[in-house]
Amino acid sequence: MMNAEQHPSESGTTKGYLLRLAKGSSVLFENKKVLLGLSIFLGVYLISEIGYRFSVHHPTRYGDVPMNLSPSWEHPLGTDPMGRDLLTQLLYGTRLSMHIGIMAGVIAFSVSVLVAFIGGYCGGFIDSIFGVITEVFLTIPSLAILILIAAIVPKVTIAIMATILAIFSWAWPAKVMRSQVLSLKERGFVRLAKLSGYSGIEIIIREIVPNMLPFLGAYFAVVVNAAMLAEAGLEIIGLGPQHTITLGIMLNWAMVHSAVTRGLTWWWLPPSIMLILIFLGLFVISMGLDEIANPRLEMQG
Amino acid sequence: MYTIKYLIRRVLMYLLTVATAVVINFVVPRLIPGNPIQARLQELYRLGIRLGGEEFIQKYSRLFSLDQPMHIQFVNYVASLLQGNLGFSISYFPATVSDIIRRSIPWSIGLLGVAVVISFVVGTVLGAFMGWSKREGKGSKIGGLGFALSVFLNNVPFYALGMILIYTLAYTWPIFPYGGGHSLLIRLGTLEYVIDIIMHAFLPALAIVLGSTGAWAIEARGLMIGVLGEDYLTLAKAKGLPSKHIFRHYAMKNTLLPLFTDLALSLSTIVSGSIIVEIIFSYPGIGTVLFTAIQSLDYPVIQGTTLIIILGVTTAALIVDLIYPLLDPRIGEK
Repeated sequence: MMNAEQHPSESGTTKGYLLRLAKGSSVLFENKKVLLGLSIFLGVYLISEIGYRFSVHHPTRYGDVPMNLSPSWEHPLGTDPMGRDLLTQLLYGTRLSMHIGIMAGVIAFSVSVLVAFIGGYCGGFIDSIFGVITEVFLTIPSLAILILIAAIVPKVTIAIMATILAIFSWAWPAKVMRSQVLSLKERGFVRLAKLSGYSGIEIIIREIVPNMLPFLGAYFAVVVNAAMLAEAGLEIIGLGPQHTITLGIMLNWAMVHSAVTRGLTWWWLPPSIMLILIFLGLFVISMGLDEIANPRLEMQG
Repeated sequence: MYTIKYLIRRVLMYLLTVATAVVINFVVPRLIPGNPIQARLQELYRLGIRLGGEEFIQKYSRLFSLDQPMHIQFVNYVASLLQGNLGFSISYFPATVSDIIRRSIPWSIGLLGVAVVISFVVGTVLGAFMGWSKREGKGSKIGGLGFALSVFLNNVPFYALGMILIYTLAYTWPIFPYGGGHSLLIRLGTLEYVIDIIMHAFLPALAIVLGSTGAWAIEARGLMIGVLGEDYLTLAKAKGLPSKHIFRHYAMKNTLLPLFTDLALSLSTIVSGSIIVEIIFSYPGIGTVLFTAIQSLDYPVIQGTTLIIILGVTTAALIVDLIYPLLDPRIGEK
């Protein structure tokens, strides 16, 4: 079991360390929820990544195809008033949305891990400062500030978008991970490692990280989820990256053209479903990983 | 009752958050080189929109002393904020940002207040029952179904719910209006007016309620299952107390309390979501004001509304956090 306390000598060698990491990851795939969530998430990703390559139309070029067509064999989701194929937009947009979300997730996750580990492990003054900053970021409604930033940045590129999103997605995982680090710090095997003369960083990498793997995974999924939710939210109100298509930007176009109240279901419903599937997949992954990290949760079903 | 230490800590935290918000609101626009107002106006000018003009620039520059050094600008900015002065709108020039916000904020507070209370109560009660149904170690079918439904709803963003609701209950079956806050030709203060307001608020409120009930239910269910393992429940059962009594007086109480802190924390997420709901329904609240301002590059309005939204959320969170220890005496003493 991942959570079993391990003697530091077991992790003495790099090989032993890698073995432990591998053992840890194999546990992940035995959990039904993790599998289900991963299949939804990767399924959506693969369909969009592969499907987009098969598409003969251009996702963003105006007048690429005839305008305002209803669904047909040629255009399964119809076309929009700018003359773009909606299925191509959907596939391209899903792919790009996920890229941005994962990019933002990686940035935000790195920040939250640093804050949690440094703060949680070192304690004292640094920890208090980190704690206060985390708390401030938790209470401020991120969308309001994201809107403020996105509205003044003259040209939002994909990298800028990911960075903006990351700034407001790290706080919650940082808070939860910190308390996890705090509780692990007091466990016997960490104390033993400390007595054996390992340095702080060594203890974090050798002892704490392997024991937190499922937990870290769960919060990576949470971070990506939060980032993508904010991403779509910003894009729907017209504050996304320009000259490209993501799921949120597609919904923005649909909204601007009153697709919902004109009954153009094929325009607004597919991107909404894609978003729901992505969020659902990520949520179920994090639920499953949480169960592995915290076996008491398993009885919750 | 809370200890002085808790009170001071919480209020200090609040002031710090507000200060951060004010600083962000001050710094972010100044990150772009040049006079922010001039830059915006030039951009508008290129698009062929002429608003306010020289008079506006002068008034605004003087108001925020944009020609002065940064620290003096900041002092002036804070000073005018303290007087409730948020500057002028570009699009509706003589109108001040405060006027615009004052007109829209009752709509937002009404919509959000009702939706948050309903979803919190409904979600918590449903979640508690779902958790309670697992007390013999086996889950009931309805409990499992409810949980699956909660997980699903929790992952449907507010705006997707909004679109689906408009499509079904306004477009396909035209029961409710597409959007807006009230009909145009209707007399204030009549019964008709009240019904009209409710009809318009129904769908956006429902979108927020459906979108956040799932989260509360999941949360409450987890807490309830945690409570089920506690010794005092076993004791209560051993004493022969009726199951209903145990549920109400022991289990529910301990499930409900921790949820209040979550309420304070999740307000920011709910508000973020409801901004978009307002926009989708063109509800005349602060979210829609923000959206219109973004579209017309009405910079002072964007800045003012974001500040007010942040102030509102942090203040509400403070209030929840100050009420909470009154309900759960253990918290303030920690």
